[in-house]
Amino acid sequence: MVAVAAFWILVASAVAGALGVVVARNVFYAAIGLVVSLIAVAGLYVTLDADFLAVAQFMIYVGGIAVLIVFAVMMTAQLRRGSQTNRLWPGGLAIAGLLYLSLVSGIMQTDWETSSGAVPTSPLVASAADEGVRLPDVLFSTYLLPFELAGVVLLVATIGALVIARDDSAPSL
Amino acid sequence: MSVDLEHYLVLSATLFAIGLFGTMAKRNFVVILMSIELMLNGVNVAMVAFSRYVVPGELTGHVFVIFIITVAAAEVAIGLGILLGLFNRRGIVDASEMNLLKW
Repeated sequence: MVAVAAFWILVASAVAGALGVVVARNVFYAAIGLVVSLIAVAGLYVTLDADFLAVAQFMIYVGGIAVLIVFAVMMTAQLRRGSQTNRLWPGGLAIAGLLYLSLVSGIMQTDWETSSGAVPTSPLVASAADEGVRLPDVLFSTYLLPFELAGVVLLVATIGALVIARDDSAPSL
Repeated sequence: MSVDLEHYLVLSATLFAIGLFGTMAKRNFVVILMSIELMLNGVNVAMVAFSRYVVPGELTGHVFVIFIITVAAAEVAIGLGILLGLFNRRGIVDASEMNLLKW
């Protein structure tokens, strides 16, 4: 019962924060809406027995990406135009609404083959004696190559962002 | 009533649609980046929900989400780098003014 109530509260916060991102006129309020939505999604991961992902979401999205976005908002704050919509926003609304309706009708009409198997032990608290798969075991065996490639992606992104954002007038190193 | 897979999927679709609208309809480049993050988050919710309800015990969806988060972090870093570069050189954050590559 508590879990169901928690689910609906988290859903309400996630959707409200997301709506805040697209409705808010002030870019800073939009960023705050994004943070609310991201925290609510982290809570939803807990209701899905994904403790590690909840912590990762909180640290990377809320602690990293959201702070980065707030910095960007502050650095570009001289332009006091706020968050306006462009000329084609009714078309965007129509496309997004159509996609939403088709997705929801597809979800409702599909007969999902859900498994009522045992609830997986959550990766953070599972001891070595527990049955069940743990996240590091999967990540460092089956998905080892993508894991290494993700490291390369992050390295390239870091260097690329530095090169792109570098101020040309600054003395070169 | 209990919470089922459908509830998570509808929430995922809601977040994705809101993010899609923001990506298409907003002028401010930072808000467009935020909307892309919303779309990625919606997909992540669907991934974890499928992993939990369809193949409990296997963590396939969790691994997907970890990679999506990694790529999203890289994407935001590059996106904000482009934003700062454009802002420093041309003083714009409006996506409809970014027309240097338009013919």
